[in-house]
Amino acid sequence: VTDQSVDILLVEDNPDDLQLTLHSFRQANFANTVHVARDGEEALEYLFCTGRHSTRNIGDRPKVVLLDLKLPLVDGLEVLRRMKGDPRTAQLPVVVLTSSREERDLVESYQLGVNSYIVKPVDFEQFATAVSTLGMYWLLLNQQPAAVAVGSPTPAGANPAAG
Amino acid sequence: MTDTLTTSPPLVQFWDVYQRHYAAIGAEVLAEAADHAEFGPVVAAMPPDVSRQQDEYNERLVDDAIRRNHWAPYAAYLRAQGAEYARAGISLASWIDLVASFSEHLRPYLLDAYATAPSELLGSLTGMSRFTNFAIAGIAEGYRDAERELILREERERHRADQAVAQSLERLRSMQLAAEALLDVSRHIEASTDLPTLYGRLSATIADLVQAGCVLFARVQEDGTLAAEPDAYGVSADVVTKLRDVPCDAGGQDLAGRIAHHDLVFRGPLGREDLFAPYDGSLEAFGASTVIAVAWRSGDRRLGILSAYGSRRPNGFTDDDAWVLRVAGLAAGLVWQHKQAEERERAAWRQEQQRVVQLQAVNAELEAFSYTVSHDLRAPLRAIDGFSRILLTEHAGALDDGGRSCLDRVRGGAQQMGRLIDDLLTFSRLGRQALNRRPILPSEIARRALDDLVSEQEGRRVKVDIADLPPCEADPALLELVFVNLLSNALKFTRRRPETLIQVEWYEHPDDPAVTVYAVRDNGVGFDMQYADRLFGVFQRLHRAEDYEGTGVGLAIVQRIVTRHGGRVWAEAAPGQGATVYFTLTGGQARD
Repeated sequence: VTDQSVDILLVEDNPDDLQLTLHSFRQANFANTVHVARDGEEALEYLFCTGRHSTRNIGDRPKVVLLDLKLPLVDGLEVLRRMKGDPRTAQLPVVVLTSSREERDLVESYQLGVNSYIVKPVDFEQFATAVSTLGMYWLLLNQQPAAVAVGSPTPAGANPAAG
Repeated sequence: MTDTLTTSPPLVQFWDVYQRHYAAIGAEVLAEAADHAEFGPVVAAMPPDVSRQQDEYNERLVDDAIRRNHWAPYAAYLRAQGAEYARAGISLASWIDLVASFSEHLRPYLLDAYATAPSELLGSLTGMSRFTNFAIAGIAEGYRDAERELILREERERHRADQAVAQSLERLRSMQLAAEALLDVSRHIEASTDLPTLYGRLSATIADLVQAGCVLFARVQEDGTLAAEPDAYGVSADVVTKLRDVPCDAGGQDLAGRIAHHDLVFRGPLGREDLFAPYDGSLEAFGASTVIAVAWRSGDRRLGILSAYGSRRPNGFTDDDAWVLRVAGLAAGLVWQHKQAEERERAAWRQEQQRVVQLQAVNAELEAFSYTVSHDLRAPLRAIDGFSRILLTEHAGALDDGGRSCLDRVRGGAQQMGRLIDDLLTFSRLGRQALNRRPILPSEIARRALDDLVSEQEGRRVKVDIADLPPCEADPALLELVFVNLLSNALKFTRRRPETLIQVEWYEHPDDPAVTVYAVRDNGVGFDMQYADRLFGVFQRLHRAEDYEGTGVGLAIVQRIVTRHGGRVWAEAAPGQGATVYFTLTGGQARD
């Protein structure tokens, strides 16, 4: 696992959808780096620099998180809840990219503070258009505040044990 | 002493019954008086027509008092009568006996008259007691007048008379209190829902009224035998449980049967009869040696036996106690009636709850199912479509025309299945989601639906006429879905006409002014009416897929929405001559 700076964190368990998404990115000529997490647990480890990603610097934030809802281990809504509930990740834009058009998933996602909710179309052309549009928007058009001091949950030096 | 009275429904109730049975009761009382040591000679000496006239005069006075609240003339008459009898040498005690016997003769008639309405029976008894109290007080007043004149009367005799007055008044007052107490309990029955407590309360009240050590209800079981009810007064639980399988013959072959089914009032020593054998050992412990047992009934329904044991009175249970118990048996019938109604209600409620739980489970299952369908079924379709597309665009060289055509069909199939899934989900969600009903204007909604279908009208000559539709009550989002489906069908099946004509119309319902019939008419290909019944089923299609695309769910959705609004939907058509779909909705009053 290379923990270099990435633009997109793609959380997707379905290998077909994963490949189609990556294919759409390539087709749209996005040269940006994508990190793929295959389940909710891995996504959380990546975001909070624990477990398999404990050496990653939490200050290196992706520009957008593309999040599937139905995921193994920890589901997408839980990942979203943990992200939006933690000051270190609360400002990260999250786009839910899911097959579910159930009202309650939509409602709950927005209640948790999702930035965008996209239903994956069955038609591949529409799907590719959706993926390239959202990439265009979040990677090129959208402006985010410069990295704020979110390096550590406690200010440096506040913890005597760390000294 | 002077009792005052005011006219009230209980007084009128007892008086109604008395007047109905005036002849019979009068004859009974007269017969008793004729046998009386002191009254006998007076009755015998009185010419019959004088006796009758006096009776009629008396009745008129009482009638005037009770029905018109004119008590003073009757009180004066009573006082004069009392003085007259005192002068004739009849003791006040005898007079009181006569009045008491009047009420005893009247009681069975009251019982008959109000047997099916215990609270009215109790009311009429209270009225009768008040009335007799009033009468005796008036007579006693006359005796006192006479006494003042006849100072000769010996001190001792007066003392004896006073004692008799006190005793009789006491007796009458206790009857009045009994009637009032039972009336009070039966009023509680009507007001309260806590019935087990009421049974206990009724038992306790009865025990108090008849001065019994214990009171017990035994109910006729399905097999005809008797078993004790748990809500007893003064009886230990193990005695109650012991009393079951007691024979009770409806034909009256045994004592229990005669009491329960033939209204026998049993009063006597305990243990002589088989019926009370189970109590022997247990009841002796607290000195219960006597018993009264009466029928426990609710109208004509024979519920069992109400019994009281162990009188606390010096000479055991009295006739009055037996009588009070009989009335209590009727009050208990009322309790039972309410308990039954309560239980039926509770059973129905439980059943309803069970159904709700089942329905909730089914709904939750459906929800989980449709969630799975929504999420998991679409993913493989996307893979089929996506990879076919990639194959077509990026590996075209590896395929010939036949291969490409096959892949196009693969993609078409995947996309059609995607639409089917979406439509099915919409359809299933319609059954579950709550209706958001409110007054709406259907014309506006139809116009909005038409605007959504603008792409289907491009490059065509389309004329859509939306009439000024009467308002109704409906869920606006769902009604829009109805119009979207109907208008899109109309646009679809008119595609090959040089000019498309669609009319959205309305009619008054011939039978019900609150119902409006709405219609969407087109000049399209129509269909054969012999297939009309299949039109509204899910996945039912009357045209070939290559001619007119679709999933076959649209009209099923329309039907489900209209049905959920309490309306009806149907269609009329002929091949080549267009089709009209009708549906009904209510709430047209919203126009005002």
